[in-house]
Amino acid sequence: MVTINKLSVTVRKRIFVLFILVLICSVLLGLRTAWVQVFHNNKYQNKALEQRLREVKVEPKRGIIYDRNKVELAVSASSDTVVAAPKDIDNHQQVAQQLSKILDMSKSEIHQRITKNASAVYVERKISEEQTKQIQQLDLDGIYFTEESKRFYPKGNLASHLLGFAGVDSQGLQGIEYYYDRYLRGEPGKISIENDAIGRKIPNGIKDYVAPDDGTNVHLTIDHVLQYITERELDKAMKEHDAQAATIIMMNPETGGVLALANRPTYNPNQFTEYSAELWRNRAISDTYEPGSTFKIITASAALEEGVVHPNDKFYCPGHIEVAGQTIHCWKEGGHGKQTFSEVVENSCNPGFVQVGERVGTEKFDNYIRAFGFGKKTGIDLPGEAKGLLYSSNNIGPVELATISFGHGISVTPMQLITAISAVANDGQLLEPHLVKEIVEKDGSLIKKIEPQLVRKVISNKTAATVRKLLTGVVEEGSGKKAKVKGYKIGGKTGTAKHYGKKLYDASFVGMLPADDPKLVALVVMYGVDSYPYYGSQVAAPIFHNVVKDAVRYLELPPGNDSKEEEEKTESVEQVKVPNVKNMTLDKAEEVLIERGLEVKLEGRGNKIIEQVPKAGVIVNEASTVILFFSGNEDRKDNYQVTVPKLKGLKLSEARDLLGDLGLQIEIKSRGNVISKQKPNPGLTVGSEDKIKVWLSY
Amino acid sequence: MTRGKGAWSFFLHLVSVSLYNLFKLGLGGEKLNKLFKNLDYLIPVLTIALVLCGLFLIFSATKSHDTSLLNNTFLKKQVIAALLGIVAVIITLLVNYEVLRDYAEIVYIADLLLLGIVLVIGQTVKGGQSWISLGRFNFQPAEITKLIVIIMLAHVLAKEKYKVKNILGLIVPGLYVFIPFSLILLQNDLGSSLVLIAIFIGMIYVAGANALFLFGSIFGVIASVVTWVTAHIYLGVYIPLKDYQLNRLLVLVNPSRDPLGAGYNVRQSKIAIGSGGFFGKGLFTGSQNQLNFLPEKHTDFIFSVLGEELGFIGALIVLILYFILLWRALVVAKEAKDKFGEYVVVGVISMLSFHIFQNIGMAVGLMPVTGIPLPFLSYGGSSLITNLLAIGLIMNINMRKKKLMF
Repeated sequence: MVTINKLSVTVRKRIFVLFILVLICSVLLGLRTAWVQVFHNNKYQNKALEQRLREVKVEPKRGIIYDRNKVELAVSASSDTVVAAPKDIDNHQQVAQQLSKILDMSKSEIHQRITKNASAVYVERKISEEQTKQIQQLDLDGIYFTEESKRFYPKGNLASHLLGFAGVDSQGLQGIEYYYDRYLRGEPGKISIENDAIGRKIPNGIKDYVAPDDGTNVHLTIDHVLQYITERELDKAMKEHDAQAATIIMMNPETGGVLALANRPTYNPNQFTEYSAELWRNRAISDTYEPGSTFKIITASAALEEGVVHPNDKFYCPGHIEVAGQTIHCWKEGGHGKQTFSEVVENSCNPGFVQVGERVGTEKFDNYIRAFGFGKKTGIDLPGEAKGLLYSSNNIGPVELATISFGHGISVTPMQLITAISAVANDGQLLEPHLVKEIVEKDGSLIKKIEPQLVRKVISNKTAATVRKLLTGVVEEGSGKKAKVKGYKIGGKTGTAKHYGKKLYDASFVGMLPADDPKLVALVVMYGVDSYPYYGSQVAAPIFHNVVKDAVRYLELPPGNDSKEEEEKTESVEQVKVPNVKNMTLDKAEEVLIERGLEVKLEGRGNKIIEQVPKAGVIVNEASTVILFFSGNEDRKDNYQVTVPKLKGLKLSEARDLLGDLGLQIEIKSRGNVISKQKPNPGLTVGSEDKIKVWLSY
Repeated sequence: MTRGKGAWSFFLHLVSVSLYNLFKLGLGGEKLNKLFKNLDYLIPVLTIALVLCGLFLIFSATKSHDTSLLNNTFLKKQVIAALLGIVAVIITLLVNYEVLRDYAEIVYIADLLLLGIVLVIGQTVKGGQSWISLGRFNFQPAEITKLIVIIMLAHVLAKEKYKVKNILGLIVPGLYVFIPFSLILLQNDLGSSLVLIAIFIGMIYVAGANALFLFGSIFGVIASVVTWVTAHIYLGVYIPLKDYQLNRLLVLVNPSRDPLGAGYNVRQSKIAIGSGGFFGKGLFTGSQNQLNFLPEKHTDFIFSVLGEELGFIGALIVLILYFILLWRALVVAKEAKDKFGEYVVVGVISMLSFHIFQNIGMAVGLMPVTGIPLPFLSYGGSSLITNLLAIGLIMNINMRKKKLMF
């Protein structure tokens, strides 16, 4: 009995151990189950949903882009996309065969797509109505359509750079389409479809439908008519000139709203993929150039605001200026001589501006440049804006200061320049440029209205008015004459900059009107002009003229007090050598002279020209008058006698300039720097074709 | 029809013995009402509750949209198996379990032959060659082998001369297990062969094997498997495991490994159970089950269906039912009249426990995937009848327990 009892005690103990083991295992499993089911329920519920529900996006309709008069510039039309459910297709080969006949795809490519191991695949997106119809007629099992919206730009190339384009998923990729994508795109809706483990659709398995929230409409400050005018003129200009590219921007200076913006070369956003990406580039904001003389407006503004210069201050331009041991030449060989500051602006005289820049001083000038918004993004509502390049203020030495004064050694975007010049037009108030006026919900409710944004007041009203007056002089009497539009007082400035190390020029013109209270500012830039004429005055100013002439008519801007009459002849900026027209017929002579930008005045009548004043070979300013004499009227030539000026003390170039204006020729008898002796003596009256002998000495 | 012969003759033998004993009983050997007075009714009640629960879950797991309750062949087959099992249990209850000792050896040898036959002519299902076709029904000899090994082992251990305390004493019982273990392993049924090991361990432990040695060995085996697998992965040491078997071990450590292969089942099971939450998605409405994301859901992963559709509550109730059943069975073991009965009950408990914990453990991602069914719940006639017979054995021993001593 004892052994049995002892044994049974062991057995009992061991059975109890088994009981404990069973208990532990049960508790462990219970806890684990609770862990999975109770504590991680959410995680597993999501996983279950994730694998069970297939979400099909329902694309929203993209918002419309309107111009400021509610003309549609970008719209969305719905088009069909072919979707295949590979598991619902019986004969994949046959279906691929049939589809390949309608769609622009190979049979093998279609076959590959419709045999993918997926519940639904795109066969081809956004097909034409005709294709939809044909496929519908085939009545294929497992082939469905979904509606997707396709972007369409009804005006083709028009405003392509600012509109940009949207991709196949209706995502904005460039321009306004990209910048305002979150408004235009809308919120996609969705259909959740329940699948079983092998991806078959469950009958009545649509669990959820969320309607898409269509995109909102965007109203631009752009006017499609003005845009059209700029595009037309650009096309014309590109034909006329050998230029690499061109940009025109028109801005309303009182709001900062861009009225038109176009570049050449361009592309058609409806087929943007067919163009190289380089053509998508909006160089008006993304590319920089050397502004050249147009930048002198900034120099003048700074100097006038600082009070270091007044319009009547006297300057003297000998054709060059020494800065820190370096010689900087004026664009005009021989210089402009004596001139007031107004004339410095009109003549676009480099040495004059160098002196003005020096008066302002490095630090202050740099402050003004930055205050005008250079070296910084303007903040325009477009992607890819460039900042431009400025010397940092401690790297500006005297030479740099001098070159920046006339717009060299600085790089700006066209948008920065027109924005800064608009500040001058807008009483010194720098506004943030913008392209979008308002964003409006489909039902008409306003989401966002873009009000003019004052960045800062850069110069005083008075300074701004003075600068505008000076700029008027440029158009009336200076280098910008070709920009003039009859009946309007226009202020403007030409600019020409040579590409470093290349025979390529950037010719530009920026102008505003009416100059007293500008309503319109426009900038024309022709990049990389590689053959004569390449000056801003000859290339860009006429384009500005063409654009503005139509723009004012369209905008119905009332003609202002048309300032001085055109007949007033003043020195022009460009210089030409008078050609020999002796013995030519009148028609031929006129053609030759006008081609060089010279005016013609006739003395007498006849077929053959026997004499001309000035003589052939004389260098005169552009738009100078050449007087032609006909046989039988030679005696009248005596009426054109001139008094010999005093040349002593002048430099050769100055003397040549002075004599050229008078129609006299120069004959150099000895070499040197300064004229020491002349013959005939000053005060004598000579015939207009006579030579004046000069002796130079060192 | 020779292949079914062994099984049939065995069955006929059983029936004749039963009838003989009934006859003996009728002569007044044992009194039925007294026997049933001893019975712990919780055991059959819990068993039937689990079987019913299983029927619902199997129906849920196999119903498709257009098949009604009555046309579901899985359900039909399972109901028939359940009824067969219950009838068999009732018959066997009338026979004193001690009779089993007289036939243990012969039945054991017959079973080994059967396992041998399976290897030769068996049908291959999902990589396991373990089925014998009996006309309309397929029969899995590995299932019944578990019971036969239990009886054989209990018979051997109950003999006074075996001293399992001594390590050498383990050799003979070990061989009795090792032979069927090897045969089943050859059928590629790792799960069932592991069940035999569990049975062996449980029984020799209670029979008095050196506990330190026993648990030391278990730990040693697990440790060496881990070392071997690690060495295989990092050093390329040879391992006699098929790729899928290796993967089943590895996904335990890293479930995201092979998410569509070996990891798929466990992942789907966890998703189903986890998404069921506290109250479940409702019977017949579990999405993971109904949409066929769950693999093997009516057999090995029936617990996942339970977890998804009836939630933590349902899973917990089933766990508790199992626990009470095992607990009551342990009480039966403790109160058994003799060592043989005691060992048989412990063997059955070891078998059921291993099935239950391994299967549920696999479903919740605690154990590697080995295809063994969940007792009473999983679809499968052989398994159900075997388990019911096992319960019948426990009841038999329970009814004939030792007299209470005052």
